[in-house]
Amino acid sequence: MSIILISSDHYETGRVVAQQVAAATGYALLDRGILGEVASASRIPEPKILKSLEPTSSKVGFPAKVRDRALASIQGAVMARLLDDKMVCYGLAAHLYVLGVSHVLKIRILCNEEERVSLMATERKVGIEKARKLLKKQDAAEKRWSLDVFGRDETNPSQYDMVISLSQIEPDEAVNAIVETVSYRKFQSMTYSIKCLRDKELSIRVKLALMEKYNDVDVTADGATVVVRTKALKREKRKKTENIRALAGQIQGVSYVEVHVVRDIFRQAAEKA
Amino acid sequence: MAKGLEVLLLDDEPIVGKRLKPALAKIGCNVEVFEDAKKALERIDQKEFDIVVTDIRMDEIDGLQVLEHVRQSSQRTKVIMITGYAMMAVAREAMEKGAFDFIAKPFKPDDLRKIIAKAAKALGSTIQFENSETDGS
Amino acid sequence: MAIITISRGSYSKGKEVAEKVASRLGYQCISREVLLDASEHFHIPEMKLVRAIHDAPSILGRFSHGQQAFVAYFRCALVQYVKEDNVVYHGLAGHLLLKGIPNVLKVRVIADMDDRVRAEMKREKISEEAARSLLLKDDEERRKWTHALYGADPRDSSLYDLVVHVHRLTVDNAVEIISHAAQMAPFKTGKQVQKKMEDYGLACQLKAGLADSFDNVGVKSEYGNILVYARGNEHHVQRVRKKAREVAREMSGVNDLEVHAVQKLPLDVV
Repeated sequence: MSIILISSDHYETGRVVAQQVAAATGYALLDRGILGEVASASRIPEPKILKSLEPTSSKVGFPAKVRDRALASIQGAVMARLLDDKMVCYGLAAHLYVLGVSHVLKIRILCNEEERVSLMATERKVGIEKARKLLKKQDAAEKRWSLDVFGRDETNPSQYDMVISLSQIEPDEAVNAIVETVSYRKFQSMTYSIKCLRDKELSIRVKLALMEKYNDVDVTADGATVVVRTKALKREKRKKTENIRALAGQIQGVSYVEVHVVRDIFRQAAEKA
Repeated sequence: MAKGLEVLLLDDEPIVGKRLKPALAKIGCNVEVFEDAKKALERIDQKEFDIVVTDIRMDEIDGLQVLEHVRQSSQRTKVIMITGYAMMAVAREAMEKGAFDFIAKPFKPDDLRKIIAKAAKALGSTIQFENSETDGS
Repeated sequence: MAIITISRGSYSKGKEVAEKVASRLGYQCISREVLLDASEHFHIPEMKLVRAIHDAPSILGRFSHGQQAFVAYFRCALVQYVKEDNVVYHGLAGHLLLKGIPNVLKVRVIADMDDRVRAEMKREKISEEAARSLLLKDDEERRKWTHALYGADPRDSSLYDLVVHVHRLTVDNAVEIISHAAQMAPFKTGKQVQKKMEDYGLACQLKAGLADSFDNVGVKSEYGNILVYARGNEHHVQRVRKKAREVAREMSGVNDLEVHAVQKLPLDVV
């Protein structure tokens, strides 16, 4: 029982590999098909949900708060499904937020560079050199986005168990390599790894509930105990703590809520100024 | 009634054995408790246990070495790793080396009993397992 | 039948992976032999060669002439080894030095910094701080070297066919993955690839022969016909032509030799 998370520097290439891996393993494929459901549950329009996953999309008319809520909603939906196990996940940035779970195999697929350039040239109807420059810009934007939103560099190979380049290796050979690797015993789920996943699922569910009112919360879970970290001014601390406890306490699976509040020194300084 | 499972429990902290032995006995396990890994390995060489539950971080011999030793002696024995220092790399290493399951401390006795029940099933045995928090441990 | 290069940072278990892959596939495993060979063949002390290969270029970010020559000697020796086929090479920049040979399986082995620090501490019996500092310095040297020579960052995954994380997987997993990859169609060295390797070998040999006296030359070979591209005035190009002819006379497999003056060296030359 394993999970395979696939990331790629070219959406279509990665999508094809993910589909083939799902077919070869008999696993379910979790992809952007769930975004409609995420939109309904979060009451954020689906185009905006999709936009939150697109590093190069314009930020105009898309406040950070909405983006963060969209991404949290995606995470919540993904984590809930990953508890089912035997899943290939692609296109939902899961490789950036499903961390430290031993039965998750993380793969990055790199498209043939010249092919990427050629595809970009065709797509944007520009020459090869211009396409190369655009691609470089796009790659930089993706790196910035992943660092900005998740604090991790998507292009850093140390995020993954394996990176496979399709410059020489054919996609179906890459699929075989992935299928073979996931069959290693180390990628079987165990009580500990399932608990890790459950803890993450609970923490994102709690975070989503809190984000209705508070955007600046960080939530971790250990079993039924949830720890919420946030910032507040001195005068708000008590009320905020009580509110967070009340909100988080209502979430199914939570039996104890601990709230840590640090002083919001920036707001404090702003008020004094 | 099904024959009781023969279980060896190894943890260098005495409290663990004191707590878990009665908890496992409740579901029909015959439990031998060890705090010394060397002595546990000697016992494993003498007797084939159905299940070995071992801590990972111990002096001199660690749980992964115990796991390797058990796997060399008996492919049948299910080894369950318990640890207060759970990390992804250690978990993967344990699974790769043939651990049946891996659980992080602290855990409730019921959590371990569930795993024991799974191991029993894998061994072709059955355990009367009832969800119970009041095990007096 | 394949050529595999394994690139790694220090204490990333790359050597162990390379040796096990070679053993599993029945291939030759080479690393230091290349240095010794280059040192002997070109009469350069081994330590000098090591420094040239290992150390970052000068503060101006460009290789000194001597350093470029040493890299040329090293590459020439390396190519002579890999021409034999069924080779696993682990060491500096194999994936870049062998860029002109198609079908080379280029692998990078990576490990967590904490793991590497622990390994270095154990081996060198130094403190954690000292180990970390040494590793970071070593990584930075390699990065500068690779960047100066090829405008590339060794950490860039797109330079490799496979990047395997030996902390998340294991050495044995990496060995299995690499061994299977070596049997994929693109890495099989057939007649055509053999021919290209021979040509690349000729180009490297001639380049090494010229490197001592001339920088700013590029060499390529097609079916034993060697083309030398030289930047400079007519007098300079004449001198290159004379030296190239002398070197080519001592080589076997050369059908023809041409020397051209250019403003900019073509991309596909050694």
